[in-house]
Amino acid sequence: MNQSPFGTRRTRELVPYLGVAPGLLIFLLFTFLPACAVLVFSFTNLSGVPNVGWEFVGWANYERFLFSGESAANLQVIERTLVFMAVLVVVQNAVALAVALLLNRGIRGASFFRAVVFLPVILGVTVIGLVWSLVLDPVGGPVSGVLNSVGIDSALLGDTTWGFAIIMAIQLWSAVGYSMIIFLSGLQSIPAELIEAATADGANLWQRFRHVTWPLLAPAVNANVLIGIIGSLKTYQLIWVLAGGRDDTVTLPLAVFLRSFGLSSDPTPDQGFASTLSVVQFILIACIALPTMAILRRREVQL
Amino acid sequence: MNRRRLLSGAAALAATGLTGSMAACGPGQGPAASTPTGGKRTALRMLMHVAAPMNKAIEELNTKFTKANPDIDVEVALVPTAQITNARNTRLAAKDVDIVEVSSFLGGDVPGYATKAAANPWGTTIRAGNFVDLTDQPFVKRFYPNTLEYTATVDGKIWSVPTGSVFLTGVYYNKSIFASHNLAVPTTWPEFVAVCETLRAAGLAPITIGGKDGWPADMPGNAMIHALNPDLKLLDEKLWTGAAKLTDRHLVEVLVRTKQYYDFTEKNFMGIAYATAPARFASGAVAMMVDGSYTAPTIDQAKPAFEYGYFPLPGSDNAADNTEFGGRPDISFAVAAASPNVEAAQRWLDFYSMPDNYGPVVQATGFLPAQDGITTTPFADTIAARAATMKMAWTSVFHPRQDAGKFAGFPFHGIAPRGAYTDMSALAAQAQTDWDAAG
Repeated sequence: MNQSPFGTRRTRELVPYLGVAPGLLIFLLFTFLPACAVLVFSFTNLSGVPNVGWEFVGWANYERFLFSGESAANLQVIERTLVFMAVLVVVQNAVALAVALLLNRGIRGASFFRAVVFLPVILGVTVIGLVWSLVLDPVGGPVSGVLNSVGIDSALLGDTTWGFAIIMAIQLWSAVGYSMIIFLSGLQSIPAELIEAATADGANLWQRFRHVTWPLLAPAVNANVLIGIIGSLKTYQLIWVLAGGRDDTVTLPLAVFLRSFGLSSDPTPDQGFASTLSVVQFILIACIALPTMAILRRREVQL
Repeated sequence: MNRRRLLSGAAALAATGLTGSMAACGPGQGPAASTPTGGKRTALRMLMHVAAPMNKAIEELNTKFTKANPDIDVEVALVPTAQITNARNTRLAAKDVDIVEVSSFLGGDVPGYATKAAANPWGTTIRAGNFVDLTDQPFVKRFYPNTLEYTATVDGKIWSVPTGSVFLTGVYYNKSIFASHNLAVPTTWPEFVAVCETLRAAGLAPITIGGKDGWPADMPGNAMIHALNPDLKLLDEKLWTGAAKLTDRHLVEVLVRTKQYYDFTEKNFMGIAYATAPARFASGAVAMMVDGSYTAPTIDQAKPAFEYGYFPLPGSDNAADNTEFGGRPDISFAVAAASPNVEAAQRWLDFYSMPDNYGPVVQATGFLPAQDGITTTPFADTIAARAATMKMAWTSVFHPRQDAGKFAGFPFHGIAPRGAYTDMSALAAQAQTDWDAAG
């Protein structure tokens, strides 16, 4: 006879689902259903104005995005978004990995440097924006002073050539600590014996990294690359704070924000078109993140 | 999906606005509390954007209002300027607001010739029955009829009460610098250019712009359109009907002179944040700055060590074309139709529009009054006489073409150093191509 203190087999099967239920319910109510609603709204002319009706307009919003007079500008925004993503994923992870490798060697003051690199992660976007706006003020700011002394003259954040690159650098600075921590935990989970064995076999520093550390670091690399891709395709706050939605720095998520809040050059409330931008953003993230995930999973090494 | 986050963000922001509200009521004085005489208290809910001088003036007004109307408390929710449209729509939909800030209705309609322009959001909002008709309220008669017509009227009815007007095409100038270089206020474009050249020759930066935010650098260009085109409504119509092309010589001249203006602006102005530009002018580092008349209180806060004045940017060669300012009425207040407190809200509007209460609001904001007999700030006094001849600014008259390319219209953001163009004829050609791209 079953005298288990955890109830009958049937209740034991049900209990885990009860545990999942609250989270699932919150996810359905506040993430999944609104996401579905956005998909539906992207086919409507919903204005967002109370008491104003809306109707389905078919693919009109998508045609407007891709095949109207404004599509050239929209495609430029997508191009800029992809550059933003590519640069951040590659450079941010490279820098984070380099820092993590250095700190993992047990250098003196490692925890201090780790804290310093991680510090920007806990700062709010507005604080980061304000600090860097002051540092990069072209009139009397410290960076401008240094550049002027070597004969370089630039509006920095306001420079239409370099402004976006500077914004990417600040984004990298603000997030590199997070990637570094993930790499560091990955490095620390690699058994020391494997490294020692490789050393005993005569492997040099590069060979140890290439054939031992790198394969075993795969889960951390995968996590960082995916977080980097999805995060950079969703980030708009810092760009907004640093450049105020100026034409030459707008990426797709910022375009969604500007359109949703009536802050674009055409301030008409148009939640239908804003939803379309959001769906385009979703498709872009899915098209890049899902194949990447499949590729990365294949190279994960089981210990 | 990001959209959902934005919506939840907006809700969170509205909530933040509530907690940051300047509620006039203390503990125990909420809607359920009772008046000293035992009656039921009403809590009026207002929604405004963050603008320190205006917010403070309304807070003081509300204190006076509650003293005069002990049965009504006023709670003001403040949201950042960027969120006001969404916050208003959200709270109107939630029936969670009594008095809302609105901007100029501009008649509520788009003219028939602007076939591919976006609909006027105010016509849509008002015809959907979101606001209370104020036409027959005696207090609206206290305001100038022309202001009411510009800002508050749709379908012949009045839906809001105004605050005041602002000029957008004026140049702040440092009187000390002008005096020490024997410069007079320029009244024509060649005179303006001569002033800039004199200042530059003396090693001074003639002008500043808070260009980092983009839009402030449009202000001189818009002022140039204003000075070079006597009838802006006609220009809007001609652009739409094709009777005027952006490549027409006198329209290319708008871009040419705006480029000249940028050339006289201090170097790297595209990196200067709009929020810091008034302080830069107040420090005496530059001699001039195009900005709205609403910036005067901000300049005063920085306590400049000199007197300053304000003149219309003289974009035309003909002095007679340069005498009028372009501007627009600033925010107004409307009553939500779904409000359970319509009567109390109208009492507030009545109280607000009394000259003794309206006056301090105008003084705090630096607006040009929309009523007779109001004492304004010393600065506003110097220009208030010109309010009677104010023309609506280009930004309020022009109907941008939807689905057009990014240079359609007057593409000031294409002019170097904001953009890549140094040849204004080429930029104008691109502007016309992008305008026509809408099909």
